[in-house]
Amino acid sequence: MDSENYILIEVYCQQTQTPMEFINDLLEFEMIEVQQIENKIYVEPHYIVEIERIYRLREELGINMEGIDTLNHMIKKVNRLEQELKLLRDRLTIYEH
Amino acid sequence: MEFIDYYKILEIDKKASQADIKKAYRKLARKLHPDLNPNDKTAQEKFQHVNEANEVLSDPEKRKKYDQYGKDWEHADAFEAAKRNQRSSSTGNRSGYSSTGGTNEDFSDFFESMFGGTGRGFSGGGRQRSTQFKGQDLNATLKLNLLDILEDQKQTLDLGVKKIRITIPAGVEDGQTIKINGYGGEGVNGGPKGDLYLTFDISNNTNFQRVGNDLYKNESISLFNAILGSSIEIETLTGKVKLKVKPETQNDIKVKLKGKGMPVYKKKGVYGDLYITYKITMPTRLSEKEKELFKQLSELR
Repeated sequence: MDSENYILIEVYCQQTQTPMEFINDLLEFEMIEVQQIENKIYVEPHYIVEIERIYRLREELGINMEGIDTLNHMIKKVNRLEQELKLLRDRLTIYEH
Repeated sequence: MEFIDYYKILEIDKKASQADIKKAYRKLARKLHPDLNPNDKTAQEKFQHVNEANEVLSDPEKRKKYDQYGKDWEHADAFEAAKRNQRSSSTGNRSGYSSTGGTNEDFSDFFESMFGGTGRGFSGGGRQRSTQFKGQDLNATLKLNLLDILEDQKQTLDLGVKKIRITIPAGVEDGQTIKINGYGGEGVNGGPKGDLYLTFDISNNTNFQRVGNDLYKNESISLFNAILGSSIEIETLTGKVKLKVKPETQNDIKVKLKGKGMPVYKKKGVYGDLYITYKITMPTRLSEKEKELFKQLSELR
């Protein structure tokens, strides 16, 4: 990815009034990755979605970082199970005809 | 336009206190929040209703108005009066939740008529942060037939504000969502654009059943062809092929036709398989002579 597509965390936090501590929490829990270029911290744009999703979970539902980390695992698991369920349902239709 | 019972939506009594409302709202939000129900449209819709109910009932002024005119909803006069009054009412503070970005529908017509155009869904609604950064994500569904996705397909999408041309990779799954970067709303204050999430609704009007990359089909063969063996011609998605039915073929036997299934998503030249299940058709309305011959056959066994 081009370096010009990186988003400066400082600017993001300022524009969206996101506390820097929150970004540090995300890094602590390894939920996002950042790039350091000349003492400045940048993030790839696709992580913005993740930052905002986790921020909502924390602010709106009052879930702490440990809870969100656990939720992330559960959501991944649910997604996997849903995919599997769809495949099994499709397969079942073969026998229903 | 239909009357909406906000109390019922929040599962509370008409006499509920502000604390009750808050509690009920938080409880439902934890259950229905879009970030926790990413693939569940029903939950997302319910969440929107819950948000709207909270928007009205948690605001004493709005609640009063709703209680007053809501019950006489069918009386147009009262409604008209409410409509005139609302002009002076303030938009108030939004205390709703925000969305995942994908479900940014507005509040109901009912809400709009009673409280004016202040309902703008929960997108950005209750954020502590007042400035948006990344543009709004868009969601769209594209309906295709199974036969449309045998090859990569270029398609023009009309997004309302603009048209975009995209290539749909062959072999997409029914219900699969792909993200198209940067085709959502404009970013704010130098933020990146939102993304477009495109979900495929693949309808299958063929005789084949799709399971992942494989296709399944039943093929009827006569008892005689099954016993004596024969050569039959069957349809695949890409044309007819000849199949040899072995002598003494049993009912429900599956034959795999390698590479005659669906194209594998984003793997050019790779295909799933086609499974043919033989269904043996028993002869009916036997003639006297046929019955006699079967009898002889059975005596031989």
